[in-house]
Amino acid sequence: MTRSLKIWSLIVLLISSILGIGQQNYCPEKMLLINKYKSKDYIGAKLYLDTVLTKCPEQNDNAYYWHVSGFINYDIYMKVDNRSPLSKSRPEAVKSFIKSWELDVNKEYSDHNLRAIEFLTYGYHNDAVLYLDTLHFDESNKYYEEFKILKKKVDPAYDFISKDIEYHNALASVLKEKYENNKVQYKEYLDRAIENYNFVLSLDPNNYSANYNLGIIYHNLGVDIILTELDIEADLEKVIIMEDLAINNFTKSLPYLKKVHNIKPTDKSIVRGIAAVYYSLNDMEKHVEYMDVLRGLETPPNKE
Amino acid sequence: MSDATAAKIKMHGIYIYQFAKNVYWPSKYTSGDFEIGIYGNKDVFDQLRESYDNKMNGSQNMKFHYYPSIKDIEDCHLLYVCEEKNGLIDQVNKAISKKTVLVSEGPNLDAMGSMINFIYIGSKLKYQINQTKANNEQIKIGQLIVKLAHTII
Repeated sequence: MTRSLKIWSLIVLLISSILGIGQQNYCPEKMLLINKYKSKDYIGAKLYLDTVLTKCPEQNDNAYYWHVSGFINYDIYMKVDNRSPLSKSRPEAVKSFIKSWELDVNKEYSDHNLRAIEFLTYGYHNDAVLYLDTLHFDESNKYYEEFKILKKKVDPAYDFISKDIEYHNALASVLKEKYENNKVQYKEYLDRAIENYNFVLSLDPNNYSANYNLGIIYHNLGVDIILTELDIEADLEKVIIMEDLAINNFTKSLPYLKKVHNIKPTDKSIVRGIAAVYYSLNDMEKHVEYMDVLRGLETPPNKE
Repeated sequence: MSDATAAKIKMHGIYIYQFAKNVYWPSKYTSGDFEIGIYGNKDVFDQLRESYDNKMNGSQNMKFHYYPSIKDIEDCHLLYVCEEKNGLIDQVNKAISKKTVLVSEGPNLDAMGSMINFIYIGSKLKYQINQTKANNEQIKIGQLIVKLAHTII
């Protein structure tokens, strides 16, 4: 049974209990609201949510009212809005389930509330992944942060480290790709890519992808300063400043590339990268040393 | 050619262009084209020609020539001898006229016998000037070039 079906079966069970509980604190508008919901008039039911609160203000502190509000919004998100990430009913559903959960001192709906929140929480995560491209990365990031906020609420002990590493590495790669589409106009995206890779390294200093990409980014930045940004007719004072900037970037790239070289000593592209950095820094002894390593890796072992 | 190599070549090209613009030859050499020769590295020649061919140096058009061997070297205003040809620098010196400003690259300007010499100080590309030689040959090196030189002898 899919998760949504399980939730739907819960709804059916819940509806049967609505009537009983409602009688303890009678609110005819709430009955009408439930009827609308039962007849699958989700939009009508949603419109009636405010009416119930106006006519029966005590419902504002009623865990069950918010539980129903959660499912009305949930069904609009699922069935009317077809799980659109832009659905306004999804955050309303989340807000309602959380309120119900907080008000539910007797834990009558907690399990169902939590399961519904959990389902919606992973919906945010899925949207964060779905929107991770060069056009929608800001929305993706927003959904990812929403996922974290909700997940923390329902599972305060949840360890986000591996998810954060995975997500921020992927986000950084998308930002880097965006920058590479227009290096002059999109410089800010490279800065953001670097920020994200650094965030990954704050969680996992030996992370291969973040170290590798930062190493390549800084080396390429150095090269781009000379090849792209430096005007061929620049005066010599400007040339000296630009060269300093380039060298600064070449120097920055080395520790990252050396770290990944330690992790994967037989990766030729890394050895080639380190050799290129030393060449750019005019450290020809080190350049030759790494070119020798590269030759060794490229030479097939002798078969005796 | 890798990007790292291209970046180095571009840096050399910019310096050579600035030397051409900021070094002043006796008036008898300031008519016709302004000839720049490259001996030893075709990539440097290609980069220079692509970037600066026909740009004006004063009233002269810049022209670039590639010399694959010493015997190909012709009379030019400025001759850049690439580092890999340092072993032949004495022969190059003999092959050029007083008109030619020789630009070399190596660890020691004195040993090169050139007027300008590229040298790496750490990771940075710098240059040295033989001001005495320039004075002797009535070549005037511009103030900015002198000011930014790493060494002047």
